[in-house]
Amino acid sequence: MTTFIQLVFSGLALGCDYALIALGFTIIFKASEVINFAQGEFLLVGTFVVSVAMFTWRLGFFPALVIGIGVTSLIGVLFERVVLRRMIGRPPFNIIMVTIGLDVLLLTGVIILVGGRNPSSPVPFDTLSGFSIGGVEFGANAIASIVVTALVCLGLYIFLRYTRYGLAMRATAIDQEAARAMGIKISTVYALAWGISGAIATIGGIFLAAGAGNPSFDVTLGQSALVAFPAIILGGLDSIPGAVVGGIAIGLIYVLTQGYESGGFLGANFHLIAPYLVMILVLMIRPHGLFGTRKVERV
Amino acid sequence: MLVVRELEVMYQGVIAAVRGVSLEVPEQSVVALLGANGAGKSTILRAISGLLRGQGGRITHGAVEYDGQPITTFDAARIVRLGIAQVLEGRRLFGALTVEDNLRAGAFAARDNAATRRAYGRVMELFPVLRDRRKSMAGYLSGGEQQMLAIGRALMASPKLLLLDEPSLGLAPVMVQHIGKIISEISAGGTAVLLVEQNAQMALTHATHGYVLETGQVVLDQPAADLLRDESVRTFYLGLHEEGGRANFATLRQRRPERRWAL
Repeated sequence: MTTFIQLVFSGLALGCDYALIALGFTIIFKASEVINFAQGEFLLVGTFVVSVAMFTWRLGFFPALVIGIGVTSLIGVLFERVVLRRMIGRPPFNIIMVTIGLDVLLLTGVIILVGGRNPSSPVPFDTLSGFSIGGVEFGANAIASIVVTALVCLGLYIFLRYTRYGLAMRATAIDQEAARAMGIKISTVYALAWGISGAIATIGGIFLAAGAGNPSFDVTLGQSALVAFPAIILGGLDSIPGAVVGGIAIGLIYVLTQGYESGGFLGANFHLIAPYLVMILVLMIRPHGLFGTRKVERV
Repeated sequence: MLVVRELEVMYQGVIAAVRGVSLEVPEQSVVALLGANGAGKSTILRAISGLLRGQGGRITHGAVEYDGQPITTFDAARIVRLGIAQVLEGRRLFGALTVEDNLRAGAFAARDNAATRRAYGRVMELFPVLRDRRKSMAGYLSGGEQQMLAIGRALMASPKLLLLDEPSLGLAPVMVQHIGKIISEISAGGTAVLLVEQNAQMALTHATHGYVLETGQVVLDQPAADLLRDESVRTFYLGLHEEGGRANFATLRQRRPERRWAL
């Protein structure tokens, strides 16, 4: 039982990281029907900047986080202004190819800056701090990632539900031309989506980098964001609650499989494919994902 | 108020959808734009509202002037802020949003909260049914209610000129009549209307002036009352011939309008 609770807690914490990464994908997809293949590298860049700010410039965690969020949002907005704006109206596939280009660019940039070393994981608490109840370890950073994810979700909800630009984003996601007819600028909505997505990627990245108490991370951090793919497919590409639920589900599946697989007939490392198996199963039953919208229309 | 001069629009740089159209919408008037499918009616509306660019279309010649100011190169957002709102063909509501959110979205370009509140009051006055349904999802409204919401959403920007694209499309005759009355009320309230319609009877009943469009050109330009009496309009757009009975398909084929109006 202790093991189970421990695994559920760890799975929840990891799932929250995935949820944040999935949210980044979903926000951009909702706004522009583009799957941003550079999302993983946003994670890496953001985490790298926070790490440099904390350990090279000796700033506190929060100022460093603000700088990291600023840099990734800026990259997102600039990418929109300089590249995507010229691509409005082109087929989404073309735009997806451009995001792959951005991915390579960002990854190479970080590799050059990092050199051979592995930067230290920038997290609010010492990677080993925490407390234990009845043999179950509650890491401080794991708790922080859960709390932060909840706050990010709340913030996003309030933004989308109650603000003028949140409404503009939701309207644009449904019908771009109708939104333009209301005087909503599509480019502003895109810039917002990319900015928000970059900011969320940074937050997800720092917790993912420190996951399981790693004191440092390397340039493959961006690739771990790939696990968020089953999360967004599971939740439904265009659903924000879906991204959160999908992310948490994948985190739980991953950690629980990892915890119980040893010695099983499936062998070790089965947890690496378990999320994808679940994704395939869900797609067979609900092709639009658990929460993905089917069009509401009255004929 | 609105003057369109010798407008030419090309799609993809090769397809001429509008070929030298001039028209005028005076203050507080209702102007009808009639014509068959593909005559270029919607393209003209998009050219005015700045929505052409997202459609692969471009104004290659001519000008659109609003209150004496050329707006041909303005983007859609700026044109909405100037006071021109468009209701797109097929209503194009945000189906997964509530009625109220659709209306809020319509007020995106509004200058201040007071203007938005005034516009909201006016929309509720024109369409009392929307008040009862303001929490329902727009996609679940009936066809008539959806059209009312689409018009109401455009009115939320407090426009001085409303561009209406086929408001009667797919509606029951009773509802078509009702929409017609609403259009008269809107213009009586100080908003001019440029009305694109296939239902010529409804459009000409409520319009002050009418233009008949064919393959991108204006072929008739007369006061609405005259158009209603015009024999060829009666035959080809109202489905009536001289004796007042229904024109049959054979006579329609014999007297293709293109032949009579070809330039």
